[in-house]
Amino acid sequence: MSDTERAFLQTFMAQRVLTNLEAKTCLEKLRRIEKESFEITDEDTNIEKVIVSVNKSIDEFGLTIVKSRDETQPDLFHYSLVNKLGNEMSQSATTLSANELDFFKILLDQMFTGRQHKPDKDQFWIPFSGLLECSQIQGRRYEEKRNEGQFTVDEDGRKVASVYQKPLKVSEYKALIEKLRQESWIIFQGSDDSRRILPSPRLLAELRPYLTERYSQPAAEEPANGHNYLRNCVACRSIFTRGKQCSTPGCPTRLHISCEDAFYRQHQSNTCPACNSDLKDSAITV
Amino acid sequence: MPKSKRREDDSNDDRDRDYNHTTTVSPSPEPMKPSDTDSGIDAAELDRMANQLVRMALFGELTRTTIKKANIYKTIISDSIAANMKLKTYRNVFVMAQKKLRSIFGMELIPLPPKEFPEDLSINTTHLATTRSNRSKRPKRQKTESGEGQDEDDVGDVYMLRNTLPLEYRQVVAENRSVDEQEFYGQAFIICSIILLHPKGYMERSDLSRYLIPLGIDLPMFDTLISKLTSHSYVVQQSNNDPGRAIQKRRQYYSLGPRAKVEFGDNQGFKEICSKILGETFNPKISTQIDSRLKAVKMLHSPVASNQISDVGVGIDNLEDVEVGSGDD
Ligand SMILES: [Zn+2]
Ligand SMILES: [Zn+2]
Repeated sequence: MSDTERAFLQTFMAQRVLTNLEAKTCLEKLRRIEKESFEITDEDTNIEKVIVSVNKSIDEFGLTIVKSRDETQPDLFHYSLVNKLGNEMSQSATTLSANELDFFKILLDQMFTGRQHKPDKDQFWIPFSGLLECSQIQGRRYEEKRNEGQFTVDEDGRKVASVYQKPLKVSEYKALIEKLRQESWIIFQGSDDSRRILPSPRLLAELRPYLTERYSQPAAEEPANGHNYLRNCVACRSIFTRGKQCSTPGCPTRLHISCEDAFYRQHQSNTCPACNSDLKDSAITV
Repeated sequence: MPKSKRREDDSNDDRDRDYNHTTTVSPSPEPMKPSDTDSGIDAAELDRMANQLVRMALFGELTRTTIKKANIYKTIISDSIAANMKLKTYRNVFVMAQKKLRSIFGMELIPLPPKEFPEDLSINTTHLATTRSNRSKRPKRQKTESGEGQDEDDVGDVYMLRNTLPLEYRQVVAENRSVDEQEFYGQAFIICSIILLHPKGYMERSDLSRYLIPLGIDLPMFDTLISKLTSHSYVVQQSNNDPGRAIQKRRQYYSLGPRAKVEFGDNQGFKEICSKILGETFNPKISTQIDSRLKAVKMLHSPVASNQISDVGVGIDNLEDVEVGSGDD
């Protein structure tokens, strides 16, 4: 590993996710320092090559940098430093306390299976106001556990929940949401009252095992209304949260906007591979 | 841990005392290297523990959490290792992890400098000599000229990560931090500089907060910021809780914390940023002043060895004298 590669890796440690453009800019700056010159070649800024080399070195620590295509913009890529031992969420979200992690899991449940998903229209974002519901769910679970008597008594004779996490206060969950955004787990879209919370490229890359295990069902077990579960894009096979949904009720086909053109070309047709209805013009954009 | 279980199951097996046989019961899928004859612990097992320590150090740094030796013992040093081999194993693991951190991540574990308050502090500090006594049991640091990797594992029982990359590379990494992170780091730097350049080396709360008003940091913001800085060891808070005083009359004092000394203790970087802030008013006289202030708080790294381990135990020699850390973590 050279100083350039170490600094490139450190940038990922600090940032978690870089777009292809950010990664290239960073690498250019580092190469100029390394070569003590402004003259650098295309070979010098070959991101993929540096990442292959870095990945070889960090593999033994259960870390790797993965590349994912943006769900909507065809030329935009995200490089995420991923904790491969992240199938247990606590292994990845190491900066969160136990009740923060609990809230984060509820937030994910809401995003991926909440009632904003309509039978004919997926919706993987939740409005800011949806946080209140997450908080209520956390509070309700806590109360249920309390009623079930899953408590221990501390030295002062007070009842303390032994199993369930204390619900976050409003100020606490607001701070948590900000932290999750800073750590690139979620992204915000829109402003003020209409702000939305969306899953981020890091979330989809790093927590893929968790999300798949928790939210996707084998086709045979899908419920009749079949709308609540996580699906992959028919073209790139990665998790779908934004793009086109086949307009046939219950049809499982999802296609990223950024994968669309290539898919039609390769498939030599604009139709849904599952039900043959037209995708290009009549699919629903979600 | 499957390994320790197996060992328990084998406990009536006479091979159990022969540690070379750990290779035969280890479920590791890796092809085994010959045992490390020095420690008697299998090399692959040492490597696994070293990698775990590297992960622990890296993830701890994300939250600016220090790493305690006791915690390394508890979570990394495998239970299957005999008690009398644990210290040796710990040392080997530490040295291996340190090598990996330096060569792959451009970081290194260094002992956390002590939380100390300037000695001329005029407030009554005797009652503050709290729970640091365990630290004084530590062997004194030996200063050597070469400083290359000597007795790192004996130096301290609390560690943090330090960047070993050359300054210009570090700056590129810093530029890529998130806006919030850059803002926090900038504020931390400014507050630490103000404290550092103050003649006494520590400051009273209202004095310090007054300096920050022009920067748009009001009192509530100051309180949030200072508690974050305290929890991340950038500053050390000391209160004058003279029993004779009413609670509301007690004063809070702030001096530089261990993390500030490590992160901003690089003389070159510090001066560079000061010259940027001061612009044309930065001159050799100010430069000399900064040098002497840095020396006074024992932050100045010797220029010949700025990358060596020998210069990081700043102030550790004075440990026994100072012992005034408040609220030890
Ligand atoms: Zn796709
Ligand atoms: Zn269809």
